[in-house]
Amino acid sequence: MSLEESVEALRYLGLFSNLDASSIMSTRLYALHPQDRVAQARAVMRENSISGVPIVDEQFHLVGLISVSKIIEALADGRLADSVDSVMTRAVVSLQANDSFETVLSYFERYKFGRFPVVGEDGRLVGMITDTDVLSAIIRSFYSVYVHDQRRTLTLGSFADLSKEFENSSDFAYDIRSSGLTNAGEGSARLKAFLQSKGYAESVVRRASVCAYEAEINVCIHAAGKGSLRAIARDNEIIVRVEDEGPGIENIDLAMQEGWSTATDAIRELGFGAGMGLPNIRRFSDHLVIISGKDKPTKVEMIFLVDKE
Amino acid sequence: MTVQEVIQALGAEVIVEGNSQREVLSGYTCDLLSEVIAKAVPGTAWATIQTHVNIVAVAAMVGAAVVVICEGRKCEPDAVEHAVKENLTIVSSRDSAYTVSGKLYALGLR
Repeated sequence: MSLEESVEALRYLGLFSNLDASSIMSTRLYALHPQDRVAQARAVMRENSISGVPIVDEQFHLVGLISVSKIIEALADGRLADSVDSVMTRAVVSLQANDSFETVLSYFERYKFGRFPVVGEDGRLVGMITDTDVLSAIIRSFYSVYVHDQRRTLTLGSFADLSKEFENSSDFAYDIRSSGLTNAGEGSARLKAFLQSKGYAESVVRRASVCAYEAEINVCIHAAGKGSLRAIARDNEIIVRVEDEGPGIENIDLAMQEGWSTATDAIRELGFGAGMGLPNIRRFSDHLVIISGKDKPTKVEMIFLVDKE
Repeated sequence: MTVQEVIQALGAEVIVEGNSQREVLSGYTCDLLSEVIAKAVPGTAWATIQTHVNIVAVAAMVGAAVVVICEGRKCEPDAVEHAVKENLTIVSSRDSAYTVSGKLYALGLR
């Protein structure tokens, strides 16, 4: 998969839609003024192990950038005592703080630079993005993706295909629209009836509907009762997808722990919120992918193998 | 043993009458719905103190034969409505969940 295709897949999945330039950039900045000496730029780079220094005016507007290669040139020409103004690059390619993750990636692809200054709307320097920053941001983001299956961890690419499949059609679809817990479980009850009508074995029907129930309850308890429950029914597997509109799971690792819950006391008194929902889903599903994050929609996708028993 | 026979043995009051001739195969006692849905098996007599509408969804999901609401609690109206639709039997017992469980066990249900 080329970088371009990867970017397209990410955009489709909405995987990093919460990342913009401002959330990727490092804000610990080393900047110099045009009148500073080239020797100072060299010292800043060496002391901080960085490969380029942004140059700003008194108001912190970005006016240039000096990179390692410029320093080398200046060294060769014996111009270390000159002002950075005389050797810096003036036409700096910079990112806007609100540029999307895809834009950031495409800049690395297009310009092949090691770093990009990030400016705010007023042109003031607010941060720098290196490829390490991008990598760190991706790793941080992956904390909100839970994959319960080695095979799918290795072939996450196939997940994009699967998602598109749901986009085109599904064999079962139910709009979750529940105020409070009144209709909670209605969708999974219908899914169960649907799967029974398809003639699946009782055990796989039970596993799929129990997991669908838990996911549906989560939508009702945590996501204002708005979401969807869909399924694809194949001879050898049942794929169930439950999605909502947020507010998302801030820490999926915690949510996967038995007994961990953010449900209110009122919910707990009704016998919910025992922190068993996602652990039950993990236990009864054969493959499980959860994609979520703080203030993001949650997608829970579960696969049940028909002849596993 | 049928639902009818279990109800008589418990001396419980029938709130919703579903299929009373259905066979009861086991018993299960718990108020945490996630536990119930994960562990109760089809044909069970489920003892609980929960009374709200979602017990019907849970009972239907696990295929419980009868729900025994303990401590003389009364079922909420929308739960009754749902149970009628699902043809699910719900009864109320004055006994605690412990006593109900003991009685079910004494009937030979495991």
